[in-house]
Amino acid sequence: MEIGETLSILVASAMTLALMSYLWRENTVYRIFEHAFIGAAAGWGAISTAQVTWTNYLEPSLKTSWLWYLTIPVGLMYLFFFSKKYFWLYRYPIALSIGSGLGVSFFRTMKTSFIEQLRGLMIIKDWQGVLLVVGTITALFYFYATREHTGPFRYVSETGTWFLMIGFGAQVGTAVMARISLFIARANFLLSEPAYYMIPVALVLLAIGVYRDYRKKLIETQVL
Amino acid sequence: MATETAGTRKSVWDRLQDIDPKIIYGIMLIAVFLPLIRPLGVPIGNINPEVTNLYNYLNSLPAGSIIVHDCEISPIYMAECYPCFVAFLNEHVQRSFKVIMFTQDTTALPAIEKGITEVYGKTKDHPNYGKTFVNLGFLPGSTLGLNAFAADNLFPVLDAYGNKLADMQFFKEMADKSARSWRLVVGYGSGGVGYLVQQITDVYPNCKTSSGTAAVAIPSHYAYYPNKIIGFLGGLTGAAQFEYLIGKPGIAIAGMDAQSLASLAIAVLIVVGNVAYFAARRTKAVRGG
Repeated sequence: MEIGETLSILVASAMTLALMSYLWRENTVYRIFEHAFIGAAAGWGAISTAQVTWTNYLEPSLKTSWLWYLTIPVGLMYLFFFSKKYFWLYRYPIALSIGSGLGVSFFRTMKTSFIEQLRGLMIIKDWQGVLLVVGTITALFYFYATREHTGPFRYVSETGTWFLMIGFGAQVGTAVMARISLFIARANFLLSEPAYYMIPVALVLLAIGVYRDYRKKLIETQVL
Repeated sequence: MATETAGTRKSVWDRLQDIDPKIIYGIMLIAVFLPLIRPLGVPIGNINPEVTNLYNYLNSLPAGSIIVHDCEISPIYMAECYPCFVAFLNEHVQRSFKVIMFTQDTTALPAIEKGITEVYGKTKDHPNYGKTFVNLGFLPGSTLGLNAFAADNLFPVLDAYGNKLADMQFFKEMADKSARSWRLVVGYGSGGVGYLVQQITDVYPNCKTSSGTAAVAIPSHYAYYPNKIIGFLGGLTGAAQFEYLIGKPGIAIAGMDAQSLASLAIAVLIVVGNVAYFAARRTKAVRGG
């Protein structure tokens, strides 16, 4: 393994452990690495977006038709965001991108995620379909605020609550599973060579931190 | 059994509800690290119907079918989506499918390179690059970009390495250079794949949708499953099941011991917390009565 690669793995390992140190408590090292990660991601994103958009899309397109040159001043109008006087010009590229994006996705979103879902709901094929219909109607009724949920309506609303709670439970379960997977990936990385060389270093630093906290607490108790 | 002796002392049930988070972190550390150091060999168990359906669908496709991967595998989703991506690519190589890869998130570019290198051995220098697989890299424009690419596969003009798409054998062999030629589009990440259903499967019904999704997005898939979304790999577990089906154990199966033990630890902690809550409430009610 080259020195450069070894160093990059050690830095990545140190960053992982530094970010995990938040579990002990909020600390300066954690803050430094958190900001470094956000900065690196933002920098990488900005540069690679600009580079790819220019080399793969804009530059080849400019060779095919002069009309593509019109997109450059429109794109540059985004920079008026930083001007108080001409801020209104910044709204034009935003309006263009939101308008075209909305135009493309609105109809299909309505069709796929609303109309077709409703149509699917109306065709009951098995017991799961029954469950789906009952769940949808009762859960919708839970949010129906025009009439007080008393008498038989109370039971409909309560059934809806049950469906909602089961849904939230499933969502939390998958979220927990996702977080464990994240941790497993990082643990796998930390156990690989040479990443694990940073583990004893982190443990020593953690022990020093815990000792300093203990001492501080002890002094505070004695002063009191 | 409560051990409350003095008025100020907490009972066992109260203490169980008030465990220091650091102890829980410690339990989770042990539950994850231990099986990674000493594998337990927990069996994969039942394969989910979502994974089986996807596997059967892929099995029904002829060699040379085009599979498109929208690789939203940013560092946040590497842990869950990357094993799915590698498992998919391994399956595609086994079945001689043609693969197009792109991303709409620049931070996902390294994941595509890593996956291709892991499965094919090389990226742009591979002898089959431009024939059986293509890496388009970053596709800007979000929904608009996806829409334009689906309508005209040569819309990006160049691939991730600056090669002209129109000169590639892959695209020359395509009779219809639109999503009508695709058979499956695979999404990743946690945003769900509703946009792929809307922009691809609904417009080009021959192309089904699938995903190697982060586990948090699993519930959102059921709205389109099994008609539009033919099947999907749900997080690390889904990837492990798919690796098992294709007979190529990888990083997902290796992580399943830790996943199982950590999930069990969380389930036990939830049960203990709830038992303690109801026991403490009952003890207080009895004392109060």
